[in-house]
Amino acid sequence: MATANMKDVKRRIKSVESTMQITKAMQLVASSKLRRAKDRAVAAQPFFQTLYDTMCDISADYNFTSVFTKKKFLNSTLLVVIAGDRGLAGGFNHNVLKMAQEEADKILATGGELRVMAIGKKAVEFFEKRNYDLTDKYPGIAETITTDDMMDIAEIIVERFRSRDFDKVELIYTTFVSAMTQEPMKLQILPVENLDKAKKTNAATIYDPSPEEVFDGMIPDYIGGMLYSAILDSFASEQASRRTAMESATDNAGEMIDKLSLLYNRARQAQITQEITEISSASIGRD
Amino acid sequence: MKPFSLKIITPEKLFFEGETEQLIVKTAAGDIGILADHVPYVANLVSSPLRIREGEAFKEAAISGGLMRVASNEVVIVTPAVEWAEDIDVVRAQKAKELAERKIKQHESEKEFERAEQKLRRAMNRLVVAGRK
Repeated sequence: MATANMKDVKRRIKSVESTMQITKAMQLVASSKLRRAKDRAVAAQPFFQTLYDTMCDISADYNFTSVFTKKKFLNSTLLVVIAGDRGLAGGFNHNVLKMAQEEADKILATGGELRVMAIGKKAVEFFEKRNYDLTDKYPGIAETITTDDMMDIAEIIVERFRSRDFDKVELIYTTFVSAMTQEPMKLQILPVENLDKAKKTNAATIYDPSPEEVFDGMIPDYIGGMLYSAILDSFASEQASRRTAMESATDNAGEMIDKLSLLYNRARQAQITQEITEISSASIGRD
Repeated sequence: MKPFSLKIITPEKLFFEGETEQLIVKTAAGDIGILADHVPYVANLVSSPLRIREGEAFKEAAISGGLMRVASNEVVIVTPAVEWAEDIDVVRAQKAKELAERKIKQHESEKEFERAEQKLRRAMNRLVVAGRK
């Protein structure tokens, strides 16, 4: 019996070891991807900031109106949901999709129309399975995202907003707080709100051809920049979350191996003891 | 000529930071040249060749839309995409052009047509800038 047990334990140790190798590798890959994603997210900051500052200036300097700031009936909403392309990232996908679903249900419960744009394979799968109006799918774009892709998506959103396909655009994604914390959050993209009108800059600025047109012309870039940052932010969060999950999986596997080794050694010891007992009792019997 | 500082920012990186004496870009109304001590000025840019004076010659890049802010001898351009003439991927631009032309021929809606037209303009701009170096 002892021999069978030993074989069993040995096999389990081997299987846990190979799992540990995988989780360890995934942890390392996630770490290096996280570093790259964080660099890209930081590099995207000035672009967005300049556009945002200019928009604030225009909205402060002039008594202007734009279809992109007007609050209309706000009866139909486009929900842009960004999640990951892969699983095994702890609660990352679950948290953001749960928030998205709650928001979607809230909109529907108050009698609003809802359309969903899903970015990331997990978001697409989630909304396909459920009964929502999933109008746009962008699986698998986060890791290799280029600004061209982003501008295409932004232009589609702007066109449809202009043609009143929806009058509000909300974004749900995960933001990277720290290596240990990533939080899902909600952001309103359109109509543009929260423009800081306090800082009045150079009032003599010439806007060519007009402040309104400059403002409206910036909108696609602004939205593209916003989505681009959000996707990078979400991707960094996914990697951080995966790294943490894989780190604890690796730790658990280590502990398990320790326990199994102890079990294995005990079984081996018991077997040796038994053999010695058998030999010595045999030799006693002969004497 | 008096120099002024110029910054060109894309979502990916700081594309250019330095001084120049003259800058030529295109807005919806046409080409515009910026010299030092320009009045504060903000305009949208269209896909066009962007020219930065370097001594006697101009350094050329293909810019795909964006925004220019001129203030107190400092010019900031933000754009989704910009490449130096020598860095342009001609094969890719050629492919993008062909795809856009095909889409224009068989467009199903006004919007689709406009989008394809924009793409065509960007691709043509890249090819023009790449060919001129």
